[in-house]
Amino acid sequence: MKAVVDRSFVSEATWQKIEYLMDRYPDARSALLQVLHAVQDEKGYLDMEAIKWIAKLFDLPPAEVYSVASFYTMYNLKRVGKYLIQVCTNISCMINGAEDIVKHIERKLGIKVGETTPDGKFTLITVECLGSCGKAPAMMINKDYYENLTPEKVDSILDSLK
Amino acid sequence: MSTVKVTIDGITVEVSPDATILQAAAKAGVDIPYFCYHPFLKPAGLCRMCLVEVEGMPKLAPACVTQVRDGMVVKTNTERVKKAREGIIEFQLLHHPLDCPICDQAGECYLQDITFRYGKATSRFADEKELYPTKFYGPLIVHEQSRCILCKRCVRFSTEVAGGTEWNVYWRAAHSIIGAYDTDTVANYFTANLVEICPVGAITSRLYRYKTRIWKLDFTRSVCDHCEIGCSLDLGVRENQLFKIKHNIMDPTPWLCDKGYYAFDYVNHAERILFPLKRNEKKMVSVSSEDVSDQIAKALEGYKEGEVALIVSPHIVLEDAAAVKSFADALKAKVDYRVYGEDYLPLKTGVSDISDVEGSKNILILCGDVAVSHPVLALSVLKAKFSGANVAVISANDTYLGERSNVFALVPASKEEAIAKDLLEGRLNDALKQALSESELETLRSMLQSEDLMVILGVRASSALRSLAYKISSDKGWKLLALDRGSNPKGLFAMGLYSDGVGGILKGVVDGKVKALLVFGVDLFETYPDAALVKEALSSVEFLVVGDLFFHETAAYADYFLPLVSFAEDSGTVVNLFWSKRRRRRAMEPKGESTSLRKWLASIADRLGVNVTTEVEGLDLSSVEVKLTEGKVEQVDGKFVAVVEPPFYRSAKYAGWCSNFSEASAEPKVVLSIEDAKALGVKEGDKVVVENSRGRFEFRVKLREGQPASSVVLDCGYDRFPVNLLLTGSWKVAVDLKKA
Repeated sequence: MKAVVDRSFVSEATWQKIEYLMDRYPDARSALLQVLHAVQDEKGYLDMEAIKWIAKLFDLPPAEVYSVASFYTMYNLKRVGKYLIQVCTNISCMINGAEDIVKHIERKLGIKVGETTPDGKFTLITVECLGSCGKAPAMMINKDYYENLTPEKVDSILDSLK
Repeated sequence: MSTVKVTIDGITVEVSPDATILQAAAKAGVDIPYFCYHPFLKPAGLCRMCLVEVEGMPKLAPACVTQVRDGMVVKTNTERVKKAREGIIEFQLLHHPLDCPICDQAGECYLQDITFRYGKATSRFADEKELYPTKFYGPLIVHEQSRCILCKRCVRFSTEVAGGTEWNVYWRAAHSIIGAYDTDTVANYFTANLVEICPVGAITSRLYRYKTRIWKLDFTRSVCDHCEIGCSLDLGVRENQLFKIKHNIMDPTPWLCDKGYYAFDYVNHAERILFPLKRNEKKMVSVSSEDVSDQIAKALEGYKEGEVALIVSPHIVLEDAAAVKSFADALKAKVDYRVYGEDYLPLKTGVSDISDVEGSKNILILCGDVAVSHPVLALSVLKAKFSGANVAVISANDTYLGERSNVFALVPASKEEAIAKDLLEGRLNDALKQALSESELETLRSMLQSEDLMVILGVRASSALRSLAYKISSDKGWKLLALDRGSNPKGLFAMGLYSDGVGGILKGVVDGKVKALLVFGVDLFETYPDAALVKEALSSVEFLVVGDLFFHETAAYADYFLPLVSFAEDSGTVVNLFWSKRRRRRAMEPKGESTSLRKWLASIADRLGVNVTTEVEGLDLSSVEVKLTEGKVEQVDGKFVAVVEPPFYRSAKYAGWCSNFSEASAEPKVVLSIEDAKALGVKEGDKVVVENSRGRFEFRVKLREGQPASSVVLDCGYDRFPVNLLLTGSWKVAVDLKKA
């Protein structure tokens, strides 16, 4: 069978990136994690459709791709907001007041951990160590780090996000 | 080969240098408990139950993945090992519901046995257990995540052996869940293995759910009745009811299919006819076994030479076949077993064992889905593929092996035979080139040039193709495996139970040459690809005797009905795909007055004053000669050409009377190409009418990417849905499609 993968599922730039990634390894399958990231970067999350598309691309059963995607916490399998707020609640951050930061964001956005604001702008989750213990408490919004947080600082960060 | 010496608990054994400690311990007779190890799966080292102490190693070593060294000293009876085992079991049981009293695995559960032998009686876990809801995956299996110990045997089978299915493990660590992705029904032909290899009660069979206890069953080793591979099965019987089938994992392959595992409950079915019946005007009334033989014998006496004919199922055992042969010879009657309208006879080839398939370097599969007709053979093909073989599948319908092979061509139904013929002669047909990519064509060319090529002809392959394949493969030194329908076709051929085909006999009835017909073990309306001819023949025949388990449509025309026994109630010999004899054993007493075909025939023959024999010891399979039949390739042309095939869960013997099994494919479907669907204005799940001058049926649409235009696949084998009415002697037919 001529495997037909619908290229228009992703943007041209993402397709280029996927081709580059799959060419980098002697066994194309080694690029699975990075391709999952590439597709997530564009779509924001990996739904069933994306999993099936990637499975076809790699000629793997969708179950296997989903198994990999669900193993790692950095893949979002459900829709997330435009800004994914990941607050570290591991030891150093916790001692330095991460729990207050979480409560503050919950109050400010009117959502609980794991939820998305009704306008689809913010999703709040807590994560384990972000590797920024020296500047605790820390959080990540999408791919940017924000450190030495205080409730006031969080306010100004969130207000600045459009 | 060099060996190494290993000492386990003071017992020294010699094993091969690539053996593991676990294998060495088995040889030494030392018991090492395990969950995740399985002799036919790659070792995984997941469950840590097999930890042992090795002299010189600071930590305990998992025996299932630790290779032996010369002079290695292993201890399994030390305090450290004992403590480790107790710890592992305590962890395994943290979230285990301990619901053994209602668990179907109880009695054959590794966790139960190992806890009893090596565990501690108490647990220190004081918190609430994390339990998951029960999940039913369709009519066949039920999954209890709470009981799962995450040994991943089922997942490893699905990926390593079955070539990837919807079954996998998701999330991670303590939150890991085993299950199917994006589906609520798991029916991938091999789910039986998930049940069989689950060491605990996490995956169990829905047929066996809450039915009985394993220790109340008496097991008898017999041979499966569904196809000619003849897997070794243990039949579990209690109070003359067949409750459970277990697989004897050594023979012939470690795996079995859903047909062998689930399609057995017809044996206990309430609709089975257990007493002889005779026609009284429009009704069938019961009659004693003595009288029925008397009356049939009397009726048969009135017919002259050549006016009697017999049609038997390709599932009957050799002993029955011997009786049929001698009975037919005495009456000078024609007899045939090819009830699926085959115009070919079995081919005896050099392939003598399933390991020949597993060891092949190149495998070419033509005309049919091996996984439907001979499921376990498909797993052997996959095994060859995983050890580096090239597998090519050329078929008009989507096949299990297709997506899992190196080369897969979905070809138009009308050209399937021509493409296969060209391919065997070394030519790549244009239609084939269209269906394949450049790299696939390259692989296919290299396969045809190789001397180590095995050609497997599916059940749809015609006699012309078989003869050609036989000649070419003997010229080129290829190996050939020609598949037949039924569980004993090769044996019936060797016994000489063939004449000019079932079609020939039926035409003889219509022409008035054959006046009395005896049909045993088969519903011709379901099997013969021309229901109109069957109907004409059965309504015009003067005298009809039908013997079977159920009162099916063919029986409805009968003057006499003889109740036969199922495979579980009879012993006998069958000849398998590789031309070796296999022995079926009786697991239960015949129900009611049902008895074997040979006994009915003997009792009738007795009254006719002739002798029937059941002697088969003299049958010498090595002297069977190949009979090439010269049929012509039937060219089917039309707006749409359909190939009619039963889906897997309708292809078992008596599938209609195996309720759970047949539910797994609930509705007849037509597979359409995307272009055709667009032209007809239908989408997936819509209904279309398939018709020709002979009949009209409604099917649910299933779209298949890559399906060639104007070529469709129709499901058959459904109750009260006689698709065979459309057919004219072949399983391919020209039809027209309309939106319903």
